[in-house]
Amino acid sequence: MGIPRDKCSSCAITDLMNDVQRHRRPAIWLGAGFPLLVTVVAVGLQLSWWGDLPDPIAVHWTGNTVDGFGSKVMVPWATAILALVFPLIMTVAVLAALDRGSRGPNLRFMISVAASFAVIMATLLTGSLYIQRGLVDAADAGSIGPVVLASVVGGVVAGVIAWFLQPRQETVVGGEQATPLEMSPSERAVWASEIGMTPALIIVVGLGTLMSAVAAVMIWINGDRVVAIPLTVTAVVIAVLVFGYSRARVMVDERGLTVKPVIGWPRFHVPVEEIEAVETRDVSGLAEFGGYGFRWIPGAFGVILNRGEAISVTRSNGRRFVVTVDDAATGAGLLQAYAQRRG
Amino acid sequence: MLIRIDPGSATPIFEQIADSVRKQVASGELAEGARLPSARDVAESLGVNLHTVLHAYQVLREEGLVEMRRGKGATVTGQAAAMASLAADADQLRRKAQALGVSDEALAALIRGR
Repeated sequence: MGIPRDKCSSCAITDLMNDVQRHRRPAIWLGAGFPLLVTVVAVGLQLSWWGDLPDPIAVHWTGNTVDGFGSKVMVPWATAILALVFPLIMTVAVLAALDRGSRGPNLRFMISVAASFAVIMATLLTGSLYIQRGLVDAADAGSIGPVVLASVVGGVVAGVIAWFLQPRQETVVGGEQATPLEMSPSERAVWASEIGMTPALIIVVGLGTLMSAVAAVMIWINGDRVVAIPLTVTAVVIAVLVFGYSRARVMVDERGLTVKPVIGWPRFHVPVEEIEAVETRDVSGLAEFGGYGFRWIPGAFGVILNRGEAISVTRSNGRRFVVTVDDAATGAGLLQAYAQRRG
Repeated sequence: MLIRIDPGSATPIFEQIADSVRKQVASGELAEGARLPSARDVAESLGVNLHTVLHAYQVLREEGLVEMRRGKGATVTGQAAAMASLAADADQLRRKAQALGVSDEALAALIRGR
């Protein structure tokens, strides 16, 4: 007597839960536990040297010479934010993607980056204090070079180890095949939707733009051309990216799927004859594409302006094209109907 | 938003385009401020004449359902909420008319004549 078939549907659910746990656990340990440990050790070391440190301390070097000073109180706080909060944000995004059923080397990589980033930032900040112990005037601090080198080496080592401590992940995209829209053979349709970053995201990027613009202007006035030029270029590039690419139009018609940013270029198009499969799914830009905007990752290209519903198209060459858009089911349904109409 | 047309239907194409928009306004899928795709894009996508799409948008504008602004294109007006709130009543009235054997045309004429 075997187990009745209907009873074993629970086996599948248990397997699924085990699989989620198998990936969640290392992600939590490496992406949250490890950065926490690193931060505690780093801040502990920083505080143990507290009495020996000058105040203000050196915070910026050009070549081997100190050219920027700041309050030493900033260092432990910066360590907590950069070595702990940043990795945590990445890890939370990855965990959410794992829970949704997504798997892939990109998720594994994000956790490695989180572990690596924690080591780089903690080493850099703690090292900058280490070389200033016993100084009366921070201007006498030696070169930061060895500290930078140590942080990069430490970061790479931590990232590589974190990569190999995680289980392999075959790319699984937790999507749902689109239901074709019902259409009579003579019928034609177009589906159009506007996509855009949320105001909050625009404000964050917009503030960044404003700051780099202000910095650029100030440095032009103070006359350091070498620094002013790249800063100005950065400010202009960010401004163009924010205001030109924060909104786009997605269209599905007889010819396929088209995404066109408000400034008109570049236009992304997937012709209907190249469509292998159409799916709808939930996307977290940070976890799966490493951020927002136009994103290239192995095997996929995404126009990811916000998180949530997305149309995911697999092309005949196996690559995926993903665009986050509201009411993805209708757009995907029309695309599926046209793809099937072609045969 | 979805615009569907059937060139085989007796209803003129511009009317079918306007109907698609009206239907989504009534169902609440298109709310105030929603932007319609440019007439040029719609015309290219559906393979119809640009003037046909402009005609449809013009009809919707005359009904007060959309407004045209320079640079912003056609957007759905505040009238959308009113239309959506009338949709359920209209359905009910239509069902009652059908039960009584009154055609849609006769019902529309009744409303227009009052």
